[in-house]
Amino acid sequence: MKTPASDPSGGVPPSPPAPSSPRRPTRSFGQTWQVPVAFACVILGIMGGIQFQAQSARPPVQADNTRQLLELVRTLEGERNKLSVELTETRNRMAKVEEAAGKRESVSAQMQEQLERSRIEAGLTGMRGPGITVTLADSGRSPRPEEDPYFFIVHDVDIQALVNELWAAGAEAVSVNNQRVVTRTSIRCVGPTVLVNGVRMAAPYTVKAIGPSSDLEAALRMPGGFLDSMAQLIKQGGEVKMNRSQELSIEPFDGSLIFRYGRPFEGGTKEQASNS
Amino acid sequence: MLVIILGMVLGVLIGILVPYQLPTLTAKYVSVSFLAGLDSVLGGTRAGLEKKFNFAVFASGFFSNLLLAALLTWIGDRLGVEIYQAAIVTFGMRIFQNLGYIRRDLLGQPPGERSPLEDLVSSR
Repeated sequence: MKTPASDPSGGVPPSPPAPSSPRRPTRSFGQTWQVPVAFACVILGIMGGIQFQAQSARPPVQADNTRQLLELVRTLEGERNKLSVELTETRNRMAKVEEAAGKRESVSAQMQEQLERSRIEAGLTGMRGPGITVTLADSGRSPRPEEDPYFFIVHDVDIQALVNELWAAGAEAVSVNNQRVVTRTSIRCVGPTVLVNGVRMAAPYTVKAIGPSSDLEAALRMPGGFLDSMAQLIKQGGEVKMNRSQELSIEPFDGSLIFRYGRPFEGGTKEQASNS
Repeated sequence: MLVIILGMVLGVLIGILVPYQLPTLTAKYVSVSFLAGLDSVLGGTRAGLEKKFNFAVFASGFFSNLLLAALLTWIGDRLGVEIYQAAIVTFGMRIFQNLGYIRRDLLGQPPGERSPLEDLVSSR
């Protein structure tokens, strides 16, 4: 690739003599030179054709794809909502059947009691009692170019930390925006929203916890604890509000608790000391 | 000349009809290589028309250009510098240059004579 005129690829010999020179380093092919060139053309054509095929097969606009995915999410969410309504109805029916069974006294009173306790422990019943309500809100203003937008919004990890702290401080029931936190609850960010139990929600997040309200608040206000970890958000205009109350109610878990893979094993149950 | 054009048409047909889908990652390499190969083919045609064709020079040039173009693209990807643009500019320029020679070879103008425009292009 020294100079464009004397490139070997051109088929021009490095030191080309005059075309009419009798002593040429190259053999004269007549018309046979066309054969290798045509062969190269075939290779080239295959490359071009494959490339053309690949380019035309690719979706031209990315935004189109995004819209489709959004549509899909919306459809699936609608489906999910319908199914969860169905689930609630089924639960209600089940409760009626249990009640009826209890009345017929085919199920012993003790079993009935045990069943009720299990339901409470699993978070399938609503709960009332003293507790604390924590509200987390995003900052109202938008970040300036030099500011980190991370600290302007509430993240899934913030909610996770809060819920974790509440459990550790003795909370007995916790919900995030009326989604009960149970054994299989997940809290995670998906884009600008947070999913709790697979339900999409946006700020502000209201976390309710039933338990010793003053202990709960003290735990959150502990130096180096949850409230301190939210200092950046508060500084940028976000909000963390805590309200103790004598009486608040927490919704039951209304999602699915079907086990498809796991199953209990023999002797795997630990008898709890009954403490009611 | 007809053989060359037929070869190209045949290749394109094979390429379009072949069920193989090119992965997205290699698409850029193929397009740069395609340009390099096109330059070689035009150069070979020109040499043939000027009765200076040498098979070894043509074959080695064709394949080394293909590989070098792909290699440049690959290195550019690794370094974060779009080196393949150098290949595109160089080969693109040479394609037009060769095409100009071929045109004049076919029209029967003496190849030794250069137009002022040609000098302008090759002197950069």
